[in-house]
Amino acid sequence: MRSCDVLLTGEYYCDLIFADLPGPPRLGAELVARDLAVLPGGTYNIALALTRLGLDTHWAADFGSDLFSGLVLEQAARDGLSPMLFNRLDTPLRRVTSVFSSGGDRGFLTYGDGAIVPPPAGTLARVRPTWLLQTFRFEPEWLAFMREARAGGAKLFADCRGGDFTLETPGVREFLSLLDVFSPNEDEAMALTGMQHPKKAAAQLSELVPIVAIKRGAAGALVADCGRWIKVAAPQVPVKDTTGAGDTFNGGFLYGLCSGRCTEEAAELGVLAGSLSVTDYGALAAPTLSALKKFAGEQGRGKMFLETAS
Amino acid sequence: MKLVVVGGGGLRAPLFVDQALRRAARTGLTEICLMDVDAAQLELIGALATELARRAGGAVEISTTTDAETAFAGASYVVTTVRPGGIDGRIADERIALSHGVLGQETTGAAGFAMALRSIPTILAYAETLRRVSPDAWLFNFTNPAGLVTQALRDAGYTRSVGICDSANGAQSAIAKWLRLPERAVRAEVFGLNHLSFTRRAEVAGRDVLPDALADDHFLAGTVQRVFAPHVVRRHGMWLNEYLYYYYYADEAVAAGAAGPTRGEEIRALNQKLLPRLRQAELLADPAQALDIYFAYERERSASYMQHTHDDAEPVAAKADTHDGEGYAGVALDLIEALQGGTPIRTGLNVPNAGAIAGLRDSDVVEVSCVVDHHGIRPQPIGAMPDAQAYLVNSVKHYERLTVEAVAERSRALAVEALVAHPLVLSYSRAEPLVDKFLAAHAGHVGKWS
Repeated sequence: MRSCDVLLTGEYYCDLIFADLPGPPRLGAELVARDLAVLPGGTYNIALALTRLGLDTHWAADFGSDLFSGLVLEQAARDGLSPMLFNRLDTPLRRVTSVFSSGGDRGFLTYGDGAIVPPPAGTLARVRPTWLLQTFRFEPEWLAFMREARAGGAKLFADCRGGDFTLETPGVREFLSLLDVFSPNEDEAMALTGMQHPKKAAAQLSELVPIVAIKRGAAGALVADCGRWIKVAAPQVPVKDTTGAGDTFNGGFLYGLCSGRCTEEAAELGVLAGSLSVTDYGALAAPTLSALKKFAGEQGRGKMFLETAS
Repeated sequence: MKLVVVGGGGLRAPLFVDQALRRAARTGLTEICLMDVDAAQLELIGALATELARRAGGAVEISTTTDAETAFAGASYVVTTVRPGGIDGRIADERIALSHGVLGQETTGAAGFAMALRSIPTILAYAETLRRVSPDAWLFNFTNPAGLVTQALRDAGYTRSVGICDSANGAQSAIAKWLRLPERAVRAEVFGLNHLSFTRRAEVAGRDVLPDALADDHFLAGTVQRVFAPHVVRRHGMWLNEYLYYYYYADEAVAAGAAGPTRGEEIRALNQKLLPRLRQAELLADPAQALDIYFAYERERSASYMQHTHDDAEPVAAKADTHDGEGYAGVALDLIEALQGGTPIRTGLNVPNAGAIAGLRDSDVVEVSCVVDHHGIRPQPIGAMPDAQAYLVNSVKHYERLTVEAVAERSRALAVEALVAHPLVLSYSRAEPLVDKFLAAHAGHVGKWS
């Protein structure tokens, strides 16, 4: 019997990024990209962000016998992610997103095999997580998994995702009411609630979740904590790529909560980590603990963190 | 209307918030933003403030931030109550001063000078940010030494800044309570400097009632005037700001300070009792219980205020329990109300003299009765001070001018001159080692001096 900091659920993806296309793809034409990157995607980025910050993190994910699963598993080994809860099937499990970018905008082509189901029975008992970082899935079997995690004493943290659902979609309200922390970005929060302003969206969500952290990109973060509004400004950094910034924010925020810090400080660390991540492509710039310390020091932020982080 | 408390993680902030919430409707207050560099304290005080706001009906929003620009965006009023260097810095000041045989007091004398070395640059930096982000906002400075810091703000051209100290209105409050009248029914005439002021008249319906009050033993014994012998107060014929004790009983004050724990050490001990209890996770989940613990602490803190001045003194009544409009936040909120176009008020504030007190320069920040309405803040004419008060006020003002100049230029030589000008230090053989030790002890806050 052991207990870890974070149990992570959610599927893997393999992202093929075709960069700098001369125009948007269209039928009947071949477009040649100037650059190609093959990177793990999906839940991988948050697994990496948490691992880099030194949290004892286990990602429960299914992989298949296919090429893409293999690529991501190889990279996971190089990045030092814990393979303890990786489940390797003997059938293909292909999950691929082609990202094409042109003129500063992006489009996606996606394919995924198989259903996305909760980890096998016994997983929670095996790792006894302090936090469950739960993928935004509100089917009955996922809600049952979340209730089991809560009953076992875990706290629950979830990000949002793009999708065609609102608070009125069956399962969504219950999903949110099982959470301790919810961290959508402002567009997701507004789409979910139908509100036109991030603050109004946060106010509505905070009736369901004790801590709602709205990610606002260059405007930092707005966190509602049991009726108190916490405003965190983002440091000014040169932006290369915003992919993975939200995941890295979650990493910093969870690191703060796992190390027993207050919400104000956790939010500050989330914003600092997220700001660092946009300075490079994908999750390449997700900081280690020492990189986060160095950045906080340069920005004159996170006073307590610098004094107390081991 | 957004009101910002810089130093909002401080342990007195809930009192301020409590007072502000009671006036929310009259001042149009919609948001109180607590700003502090200490995130953990912000969470704690923010949670208490949120509970207070919930009890007040939830019309006012409580926000917290560690970023001054975020705090100042959209702000109408900013209150600064910070303590650069914290309670440990205060204790260092007290102990260094005592080790040279001079008074070790937070705002008065050598230790007050040491605090100014840290407070002035900190507040000027906030003022600069405020001018950039919300140039029309008012800055109410509570940061000690309030007179010195306000002098530095005005010298640096921050015209929408004013220094506030509740002890400026001590006579008005005490007489109102004595006669069971609302404070506004008492028209006081205050003159002098912050923590060095005198109230020469206190009129009720046009009649000066101060002589009757000072003649009443019960009145003197029931107020902060008890730190002075009754005959001393009567010889002056004025209400004396309680900090004058450190001048008029200088030797006794130094001896008392050297004998036991300093005030800073007392407060640190109180804080060390309180903070762990408030920080317990379950208390954050139960802000109502946390508030009870907090108010019990605040009563203990107030009860021990100036107790070290007389061994046998009864504690001064807890300021936290006084009625609306008094104490820490009352003046600021009265001021906001008046500036917003509500009832004009008359109150003692720290503002440029502008001819109010004869014999001081127009640019000197003084503590003086002012009239405040939607046109602004106007010091009321006082005329000439009597000699006994004028000599002390003038020599301390000379020290204040030199101190502000020394901090602006980061000049050790000017700092020594400033302390020598202070009547409680007075000698080079004390001033030079004091300056050197203060600069060394607070190197992290004061920057490079030469």
